[in-house]
Amino acid sequence: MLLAGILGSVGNHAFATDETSQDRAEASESSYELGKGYRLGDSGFTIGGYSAAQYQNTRDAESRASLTHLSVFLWWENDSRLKFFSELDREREATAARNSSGTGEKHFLAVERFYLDYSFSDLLTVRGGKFLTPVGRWNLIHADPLVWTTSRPLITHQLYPDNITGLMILGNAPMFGRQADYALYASSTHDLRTAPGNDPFDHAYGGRLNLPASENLEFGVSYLSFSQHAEPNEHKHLAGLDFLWQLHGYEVSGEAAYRNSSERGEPDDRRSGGFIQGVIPLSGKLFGVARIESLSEPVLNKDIRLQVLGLNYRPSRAVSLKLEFIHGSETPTGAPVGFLSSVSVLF
Amino acid sequence: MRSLSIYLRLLAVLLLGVPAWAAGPKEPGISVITSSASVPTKLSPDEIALIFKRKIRLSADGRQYQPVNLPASHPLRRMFSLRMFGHNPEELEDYWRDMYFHGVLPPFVLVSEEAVIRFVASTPGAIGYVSSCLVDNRVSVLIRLESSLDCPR
Repeated sequence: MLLAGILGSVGNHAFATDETSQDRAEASESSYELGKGYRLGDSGFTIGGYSAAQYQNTRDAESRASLTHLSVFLWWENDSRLKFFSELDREREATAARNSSGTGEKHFLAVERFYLDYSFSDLLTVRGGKFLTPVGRWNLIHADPLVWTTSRPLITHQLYPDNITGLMILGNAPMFGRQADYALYASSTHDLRTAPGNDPFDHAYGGRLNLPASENLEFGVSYLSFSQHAEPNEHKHLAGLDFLWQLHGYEVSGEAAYRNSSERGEPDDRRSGGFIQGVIPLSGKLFGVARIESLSEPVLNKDIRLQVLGLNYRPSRAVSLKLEFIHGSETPTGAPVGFLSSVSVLF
Repeated sequence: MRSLSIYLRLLAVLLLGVPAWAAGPKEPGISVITSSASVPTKLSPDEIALIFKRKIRLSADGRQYQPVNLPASHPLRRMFSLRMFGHNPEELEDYWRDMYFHGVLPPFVLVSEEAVIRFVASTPGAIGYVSSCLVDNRVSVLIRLESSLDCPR
């Protein structure tokens, strides 16, 4: 199908005779820009991705530079209601090490996303496969070039697995005069090619609603009930709130989440936390970023607090250079405290 | 009466140098245009904004909308962006970066208003925008937006 599509596309470009075909061809050919992917003619396929390299000098680890992600997107869509999307990510093993102090450099080719959509309408799309867990805002756009800091807030990766393999219905509809997005999902199957070190869902169901309050302000609410492979009998429940405000380069965002769990009916392992982050334009394409975050684990008598201060330079829409200093107390293994810098490119 | 009309048209050609009946009304502003039957003739400005942001993708009859843009530096694109979204094209880059991560691309870009008219006229589901003074009978107008730009013709 891919070959046929490409051949069809080549034919279309080569033998375009009328002005409209030429317009289409011009539109297709001129559409490649860094950060917008490459459309394979009129085949319906687009290929793109991002990469990120990082240098860290943190308290509990040796200073080092590494390629943290090389991620490739491939998706297909045409004028039909079907859409296919995939993301393969060559990431540092034990993603774990995404923030971490691991020694040795092993990499793993993980399937981040692999799903098929069928849209009945804008209100109702059915998705089957592996997709990002729709909790909060950060996890849904966690790619390095898209976020303001190299480090990731603890609550966005310590309370639930990043990905889920199952079924989801999603869509958007007018609500209170704005276009709200929703997602409802469930899983009771094995995760598709999970990176080593991750503890994927054993089963899960949940939902998310994102509601714009104005042109500049959005609120989200998430709920997730789940168990994980390591302890399938431990049922966990997570509730989360998030918001995003943006205006003329200024941005304030935040997320909060509460998770409890019960094993044989006994309350256990409650965790809660949140972060709030501000971004201000400093000069041209240089932005200042500040974030405070916390994660409480009463059972372990831990109350982790982190403060992040950083710079983000975006010379183009696709490139991001970051430098940040992280200060923290009661930080667990895996939470970097010190200097982090990175360069990331969306291609 | 018919001969009077012809005389008036000839007089207009002599005085203005162009056939006055050859194009639509010379109105100021921006017209959001579509091809004939494939798109409902009534879409609100909010719906059109969501179509251009690729949030609304399917029409009521299940056809895919195909919004088309002018280049980001084009004065009409900048005016349209401010009128529809309250932001210039550069301020929407964060939005499109996030959408790209989910496999959603911004509308195709065509290089000229004439190219937009040709594309829209011949593509089911296509929606574009051009200076109102350029609109002719190849396309129909969904809404008109105010604009301080001069007619490019």
